[in-house]
Amino acid sequence: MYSALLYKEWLKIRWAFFGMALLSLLALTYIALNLAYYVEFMTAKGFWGNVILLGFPFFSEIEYIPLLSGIVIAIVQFSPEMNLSRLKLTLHLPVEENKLLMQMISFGFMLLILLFVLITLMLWIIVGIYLPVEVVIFVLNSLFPWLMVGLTAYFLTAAIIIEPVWARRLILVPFTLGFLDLFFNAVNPHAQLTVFFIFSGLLTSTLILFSGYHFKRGIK
Amino acid sequence: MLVKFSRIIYLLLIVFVSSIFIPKYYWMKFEKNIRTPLVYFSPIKNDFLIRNQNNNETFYVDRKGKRYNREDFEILMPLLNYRQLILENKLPDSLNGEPLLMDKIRLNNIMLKVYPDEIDYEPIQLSPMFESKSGRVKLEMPNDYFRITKSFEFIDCETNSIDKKKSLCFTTYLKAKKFSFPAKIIAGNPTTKKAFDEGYFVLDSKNKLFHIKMVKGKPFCVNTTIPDSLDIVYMKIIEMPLKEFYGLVFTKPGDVYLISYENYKLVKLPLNGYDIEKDIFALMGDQFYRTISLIGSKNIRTIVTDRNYSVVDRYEETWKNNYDLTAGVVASYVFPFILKLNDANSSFSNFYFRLSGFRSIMGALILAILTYFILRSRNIPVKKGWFDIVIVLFTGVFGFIAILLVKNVDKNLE
Repeated sequence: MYSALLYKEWLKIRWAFFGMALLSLLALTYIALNLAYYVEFMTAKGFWGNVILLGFPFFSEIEYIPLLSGIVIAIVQFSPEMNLSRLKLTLHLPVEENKLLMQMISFGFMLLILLFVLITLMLWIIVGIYLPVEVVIFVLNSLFPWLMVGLTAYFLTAAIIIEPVWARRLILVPFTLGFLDLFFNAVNPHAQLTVFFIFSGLLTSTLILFSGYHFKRGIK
Repeated sequence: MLVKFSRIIYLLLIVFVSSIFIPKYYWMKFEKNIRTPLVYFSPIKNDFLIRNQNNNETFYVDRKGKRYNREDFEILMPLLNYRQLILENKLPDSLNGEPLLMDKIRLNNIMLKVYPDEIDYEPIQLSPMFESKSGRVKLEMPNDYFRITKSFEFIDCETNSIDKKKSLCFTTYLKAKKFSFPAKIIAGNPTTKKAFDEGYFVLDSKNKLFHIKMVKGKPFCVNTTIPDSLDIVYMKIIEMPLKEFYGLVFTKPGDVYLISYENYKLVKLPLNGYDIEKDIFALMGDQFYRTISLIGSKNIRTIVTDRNYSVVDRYEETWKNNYDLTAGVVASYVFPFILKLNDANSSFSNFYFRLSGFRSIMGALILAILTYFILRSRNIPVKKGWFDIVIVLFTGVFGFIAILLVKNVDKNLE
């Protein structure tokens, strides 16, 4: 049952997933080319000075890609379900509805984690070629909230799509935007805040259950 | 059960986002720009002059409240305004029996400021080691950056690899000088826009402070013998042609010391009540006096010393900040707390939580009672809806917004 469900989810998501992977790859290629360009034109020591002493954000092209990935995957995964209320059929399967929704969302979550791990590793390698480990840590620390935005955006977008009543969707949207905005405002996040981002981000995954509950019971 | 949990997360999301954004927008509308007065010490009057600003007007007053305009101020502060006075041919030939010469004034004028977010900061732990005796007028950026971890390591920018020979040379030399790896704090002034280079002051793992620089390609390292009990949290190193001190040492309890050029002798500044987490530290110096100000959000404490750092005079002024004004009082009734992710006193994004205190309890109580009636109108018994009341009780208006926006879970469920 579970594997059949996952296959169905995969059929919905795959092209979006490959698309987002390709987009990430393009952005990372751009960053890599740009790095080589900076080193050539600013000289290595000039570039190092800009990064180490002035905090030059040479990797900012990747900033909004996790956000976009989260939103796109949530849309391709959940909007077909809302079309003609197909989710109703899914929810009539002999599986408990909350479990089913969590299974659906865990699949998208795992794909996003896969994508984000790839992004992290590649950025690590690209930056590591030109710059020492201290800078790599700085880059990854800056990257982390952006990745968490991707996951959180996925969970919240899914909850917004599953929510059957427009009025309630409109309530959820501004709070989602506000919440995601905070992640982008975190410049140089302290370790405590990073831990909060992880927990709060993961907890938003449960919001889909509340929307699903509205859906199943047709609460208006 | 899971759905109820999901609903609670939803409520918390709304509370969290509201407690950041609603106060933010509130303050964007109502925050007043409160201009901090600046305090100067006139060597002519031997008294303080306070610069105040309201609306678009800048004026100066002395302690008795007498007002001065800009021209008066410039004449009373000749060392601060020497360029303007020279232009107008108004600079006196001598003051307190000492001739006033342009070069000497310039050499002696000091202006240093240390902000709390500079102290609460973690830079990337790599620094350039300048050649401090290159024989050139201009300093040049070196081709490598160093770190002091288990050993002293230079990383070459071109190859992004460790320069083993140079690293070993510095490591051996530092070990011979009894430096204990790794470094806790590396403080310097990594810019080529300075007159000369004094390298770095490095606190080793045993809290001993070393002066490290590079002289003609060779390491230079001196144990400053500054006591290891100081609890140093920050050092501001700044090369000044005056060569009176290398920089300032800030300790956790809020003491500030100068590291003087005389054998690294420490000079303790006569401050009291300096809060390194909140106050701005400002040091102004001229040929005759040192003026040290500690500037908080609602007060300024200024100490004037002579050139030997003995106190000459003190000045203190307090004012009301935004929280004391009407908008602040209203806010303290309406918002039980305010959450911010960024704070002017730190370079880190983190939780900056401000409790409004007892005033907000009234508001929260009223809203909690209202919540009770809302639950009744939704046919939710208190036994099942108690959590909503608790949320409103603790988060006041933010929780109330959440309760209004989010329906309860059907009472027939579970």
